[in-house]
Amino acid sequence: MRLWYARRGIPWIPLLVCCALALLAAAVGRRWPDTLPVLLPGALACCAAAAGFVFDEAAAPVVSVTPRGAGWRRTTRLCVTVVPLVVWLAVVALLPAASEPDRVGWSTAGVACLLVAAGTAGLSARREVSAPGSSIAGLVCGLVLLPMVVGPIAGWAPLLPQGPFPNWLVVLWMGVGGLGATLGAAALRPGLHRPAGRLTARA
Amino acid sequence: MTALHPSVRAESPSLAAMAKIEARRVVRNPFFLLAILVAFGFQAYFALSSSEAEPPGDLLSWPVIPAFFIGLTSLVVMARQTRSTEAAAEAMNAAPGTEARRTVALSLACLVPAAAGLLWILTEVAITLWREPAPQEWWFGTMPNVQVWAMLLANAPVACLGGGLLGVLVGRWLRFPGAAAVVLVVIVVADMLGQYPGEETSHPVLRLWTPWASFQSGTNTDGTAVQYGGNAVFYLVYVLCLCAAVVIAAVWRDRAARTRQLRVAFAATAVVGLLALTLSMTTGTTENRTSDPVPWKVQ
Repeated sequence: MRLWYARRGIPWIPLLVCCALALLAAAVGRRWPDTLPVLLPGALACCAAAAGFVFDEAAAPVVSVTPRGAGWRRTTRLCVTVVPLVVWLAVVALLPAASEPDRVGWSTAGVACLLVAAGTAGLSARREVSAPGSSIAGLVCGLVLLPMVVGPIAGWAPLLPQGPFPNWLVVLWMGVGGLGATLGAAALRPGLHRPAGRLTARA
Repeated sequence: MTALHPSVRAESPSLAAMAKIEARRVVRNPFFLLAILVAFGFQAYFALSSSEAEPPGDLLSWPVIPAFFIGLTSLVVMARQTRSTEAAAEAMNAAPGTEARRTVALSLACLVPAAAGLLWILTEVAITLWREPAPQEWWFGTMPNVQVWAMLLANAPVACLGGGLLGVLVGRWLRFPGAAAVVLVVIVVADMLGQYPGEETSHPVLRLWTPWASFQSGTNTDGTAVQYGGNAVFYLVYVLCLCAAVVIAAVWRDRAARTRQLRVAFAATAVVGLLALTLSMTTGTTENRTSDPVPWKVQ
């Protein structure tokens, strides 16, 4: 039943377009490793954007009163985050060994970004925003690309370095991941967040 | 005095009114306001972190801030604003204004982010009047003033304008949710990859096809900075032609607007744009130039 719902309820086109772009970036980066400093953050932004779409609900007013409840729908949707997560891990695995990438560092950063995107989308869904994906995708893409574009002029230490990730950076990304997990957990609480005076749907 | 055709007289105020409404929607958008605040916040940080002994540097790189924060935010905001009327598509079809006119009104509203970008570079110039940069810095005095103004205008207000217009184009043509985010990533990645010829090859002008071209490297470890080759005045004309082409492509979505005039306008824009691009690559200083080291930046 969950698979049936996921197949019909998830906006697969934007999600898969983002995943396809990430894989395309990985393939180009594998062929021309010099482009990886730009393409890898781009691929990460695409995967995080894809995770932002898993809570888009085209028929929110209809499904909010169905007996399955909001909790069942949200856990089902959160499970779909596995798709962009697998794509990201594939992107990291495809990195050419010659460029000596820090696979653990990149995987941690990717998981953190995906958790934050999915958690924020889940919280928005809980607050009855029917399609938060577009806004969250735009915001997440901007935030992921921000250190690459603005960092050099602002004098920031690289948050997505090409070499090994220093310990403080891994801890930072783990903290971001923890924040995302907290957001996701908050989103999975039963029920919907509605202003007082409105009917509440069955959890 | 030439008399206006009655239909033109009747439509003109309406277009202005529509543009005003759309501009007001842009100004009230919280994301847009936040982006402007952050962009000016960075500028304040750059200004306040400098001192008499260590004046502000890398000034020609600063416009990346408004281009990123205001321009890219405008892309997402305008794409959403363009698509926002789709929920009432049937009612909109019955309205007297055509889709093409609504597109033009939305395009005119993009002058709001352009104005924010213009204010940003004027503030930057004011900061350099308050705290004079090092004489070795690539700025007014080390190259023709018109080149510096062209670099600043192309990379800040025109970039902000282009971001908004690209959002209108995305909203008109791409129907899947998140299209603006996808275009945002693609344009940033393509633009950054397009900058590679600036330093990696002996033909730095080959980067000038990109909609945002860097003209300065940022400070190197020896205190010098590289000014990338290319004629910024013609580059400014080129990016303005890109903006015009984007507007025409967005208007093209309305089948009723696909007139011969629009085709001619597109062809003329393409010709002028290609000519300007060619001239930006072949005239002026086509080689990279390295500045003298700024003493306090030597590491």
